[in-house]
Amino acid sequence: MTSDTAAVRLAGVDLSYGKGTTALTGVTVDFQDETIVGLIGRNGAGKSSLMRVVAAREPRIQRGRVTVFGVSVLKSPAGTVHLCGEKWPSSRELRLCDLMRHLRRVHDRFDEPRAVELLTAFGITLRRYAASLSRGQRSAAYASLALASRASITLLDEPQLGMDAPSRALLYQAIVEEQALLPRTMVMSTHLINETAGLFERVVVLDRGRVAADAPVDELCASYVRVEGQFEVVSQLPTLQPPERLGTTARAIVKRDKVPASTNAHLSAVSLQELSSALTTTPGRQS
Amino acid sequence: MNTHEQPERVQTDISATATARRRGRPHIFAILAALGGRYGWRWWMPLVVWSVAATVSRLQANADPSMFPFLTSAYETFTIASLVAVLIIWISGSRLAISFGHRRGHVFALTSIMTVGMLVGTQLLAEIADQIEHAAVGRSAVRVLATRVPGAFEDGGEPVTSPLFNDVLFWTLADLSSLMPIAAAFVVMVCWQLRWSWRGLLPGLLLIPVAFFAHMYLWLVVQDLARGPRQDLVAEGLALGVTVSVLLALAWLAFGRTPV
Repeated sequence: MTSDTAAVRLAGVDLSYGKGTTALTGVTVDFQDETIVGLIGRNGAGKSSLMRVVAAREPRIQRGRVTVFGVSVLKSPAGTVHLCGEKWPSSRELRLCDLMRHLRRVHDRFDEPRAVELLTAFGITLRRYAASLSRGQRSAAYASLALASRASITLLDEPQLGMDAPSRALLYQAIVEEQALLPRTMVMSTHLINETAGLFERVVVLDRGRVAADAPVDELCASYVRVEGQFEVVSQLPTLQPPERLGTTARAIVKRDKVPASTNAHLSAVSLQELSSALTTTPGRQS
Repeated sequence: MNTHEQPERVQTDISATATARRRGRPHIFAILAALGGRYGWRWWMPLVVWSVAATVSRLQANADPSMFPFLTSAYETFTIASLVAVLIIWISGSRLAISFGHRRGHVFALTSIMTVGMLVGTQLLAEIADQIEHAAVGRSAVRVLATRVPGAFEDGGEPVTSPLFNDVLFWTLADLSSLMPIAAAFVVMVCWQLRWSWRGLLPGLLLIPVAFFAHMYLWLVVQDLARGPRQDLVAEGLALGVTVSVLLALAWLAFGRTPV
């Protein structure tokens, strides 16, 4: 989907790392202003690569164009985009207060009290070095700084990596609060789809570097249905994945408009998590 | 989105903010701070190494002056430490600056200016320190900060007595010309260490002899054309300027495509 009000626009982006390693293929997608977008897909689907391209951290795209508020991402103003990822180059030599000071110099709207508030909520002090934090604490610290930076485009690449359940709940609440306080474009990649589906207004599903789906969450889920019935009936339908056989019966996910109205199979709603799995190819298996 | 209580919404126009920022200038001091790291250690690290080397050299010279007839290792240590600092700034500092959200072009421009300036500054500082020490301890005493072997560049073994400007600036530029291959090497290091693959390394390796000979050829041409009391200085400055510009253009080709 593309429109004129996009905060971020990728048009036909190809990215590969040498021969045989393709990260993105013809990716065309828009991220609308003031929305939270979920970026989901299997390992190696290209989620992190896409975010790095948008953050101008990965300039080696072979084809296509990436713009932020209509300007090429490489020429966009400093502090427009902030990427919170697992790796933050050379950040481990710095204390969190140093990282905060540096971010404040770049991001005009950096909210220092908010950063302290979030870090305190996660039980992390500003004097800690990033290197001395546990995996989950570091994720929480980086996510706190990302949210407090209040960049127009905030990219959260698996921000809850290694975090315990209460911390994740705190993070999700902080994301909702931040979006309500100061609406911005947030793109969040995750594998914990059931936990985060409620945050997203829109979702982009990546499959082996291609966009498999791009739609509002409710609309996407409503356009597919799980069909359960006799194997002969289910196997006749254009299922996303091969039907899962249970004796004489089977079940599969099918696009709603492909199911005949006269079918006697049982239809039920699918969750985003189930749909994500169905829309993406199992690693090692050709579609 | 409805599971949490919604805080009061702040009215803003993010697009307008972004548009306004497009007219903004680069955050020069912020980039410099990011390049320097904690307390700016990447900037002053060579000075510490130099101080330690000079102190050790002075202690050794005092213990056995016969071992130090001409010069000590302090200057070489300072030069090497500066080159190491330059590499660290490119490999580590520049990536940190970009990760904070600074524009890649701004980071490259400032890193280039500052690291070339750092090499020039290193030479100037060493020369000035040498002059001060020279004046302080006298001509016959051991100089631990000496930057060159007496007799090699000094007239008949006597100290050069030309004005400080001519002496320092000329020899700074002359010394820098010998750093051209190293400048090319640091282009290679940037490509290699920042994972720009062999496509970056091979042109970088070829650059070393190309840059060296191009600089020499330019120097000869300009020297032939230039006339006046500072003929050598003008020739060296022009040749160096052209060579450094070409090197920086090639470095941008590498840096502009470097993942962070």
